[in-house]
Amino acid sequence: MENRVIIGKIRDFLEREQNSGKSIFSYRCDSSQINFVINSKIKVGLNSHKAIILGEETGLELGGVNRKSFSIIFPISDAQLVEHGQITLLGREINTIGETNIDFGMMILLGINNGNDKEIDELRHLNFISNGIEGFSIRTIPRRFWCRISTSALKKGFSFEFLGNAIISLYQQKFEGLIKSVEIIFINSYQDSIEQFIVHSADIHSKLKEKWKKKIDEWRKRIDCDYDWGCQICPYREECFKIKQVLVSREEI
Amino acid sequence: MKLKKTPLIIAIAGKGGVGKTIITTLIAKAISTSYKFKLLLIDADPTHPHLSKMVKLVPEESLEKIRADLIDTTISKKENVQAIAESIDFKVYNAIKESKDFSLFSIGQPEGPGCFCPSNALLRKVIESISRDFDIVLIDCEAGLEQINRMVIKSVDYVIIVTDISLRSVETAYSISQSAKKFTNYRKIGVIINRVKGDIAKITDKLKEYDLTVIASIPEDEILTEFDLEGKPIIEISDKSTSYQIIKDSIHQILE
Repeated sequence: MENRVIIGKIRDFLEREQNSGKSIFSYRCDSSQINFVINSKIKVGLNSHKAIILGEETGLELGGVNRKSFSIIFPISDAQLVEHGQITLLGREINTIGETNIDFGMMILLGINNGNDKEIDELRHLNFISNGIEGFSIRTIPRRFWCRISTSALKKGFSFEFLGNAIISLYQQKFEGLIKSVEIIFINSYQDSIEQFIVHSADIHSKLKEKWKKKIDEWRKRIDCDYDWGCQICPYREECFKIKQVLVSREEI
Repeated sequence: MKLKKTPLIIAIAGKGGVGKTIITTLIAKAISTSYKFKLLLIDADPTHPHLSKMVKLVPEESLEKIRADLIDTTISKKENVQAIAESIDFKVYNAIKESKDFSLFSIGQPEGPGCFCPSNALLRKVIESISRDFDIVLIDCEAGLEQINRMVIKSVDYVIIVTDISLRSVETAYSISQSAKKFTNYRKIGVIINRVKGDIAKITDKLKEYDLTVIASIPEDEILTEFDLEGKPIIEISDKSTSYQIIKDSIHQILE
């Protein structure tokens, strides 16, 4: 499926959600974006904020074990399809959230110059974001999302608008020359929206999976076995087969 | 200091009783006090899992418990395959005990019979993914290195072998170095000689013959012995301890 069609479907979904009465915030951060980050009380800088946020310091957890979550990083070469600096929030801003753990999804659309496989793979590792924002720490869970925001960062005014600006700023700093445009979509508060978004974004996963299919197929064949007696008489055959299914399913989430 | 690659994976191996876990603890202390790296410690010694006590960070759950649950859940069909696949990364991450200085993850003691291969392959994928959140991963191994290959992580950057001043221990260091060649794709390998007393020329000559570089030689340390005797967490040892001083002075060489 063409990128234009995939992104069109996502924009249509957001419009439908808005028309159904759900709250949507739209933030723009063009040239003033750098100033927004600089002027914030919360510091942002590549590799400058590596502290792990411990449980007792956590003010708000996004996603995690018992919550719906997703994270999608979608790099595309047709950069004109990405609305640079656009941050869309479907749900509530942080200052109106009363809970300490919420459902959360994040999609980062990246318009890129032609990069090689290694560079594109790097774009999808979020640890540089985790290490770049004060009071913010991501735990990497493939395709799901789990992060902690510290109580002190919340007191300093941490918001989704700030988070979007900080992410854009960090991507531009780290991947200067590779990144042309960045757009971000956050979804929280509406569990059904997160579930629907995951369904709508299945085309993206198929597209990304296509790229890695050969690697996954090769890897599937590479589970070493310590037993020499062969699968036919192995007493652990059923267990082995089932866990192999889990392995494959994890790769395909 | 900038690391050449992240995560930098360091495995500490050696014969039983040479002081691997104490050395791992001292390295962890030196890294966490001198640098701002995100450090993950893996207690990978299933028979003597003492690292957590030495660093004063005891996780509630171990990898073995997760593995046993995984097999139970899969075979008993308590959850479907998709649900297990979606939750496994969260479960492993939840088993990591965190502190401001470092995080710790324990392999634990085997809980039952069964085939380990597919579940280890799955858990290894998860650990490799989680390791990307850290700058340095420090693994306290049991003797030998096959276990790293099977249980924890496939690629190791630096293998540090701890030996004492007995010839048997040096010979074990050599066989571990041969296992490391076979089972890992390490970039560097080196030896720390522990509990040095008197002339150790025979030991250093033997290590030279085995083509093993000495990173540091640590003499008998009264402060450390006293800590160990009283069962105090080694992580709290005074900065004045000779062992700690030597490790601290060698840390740049270890990380570069």
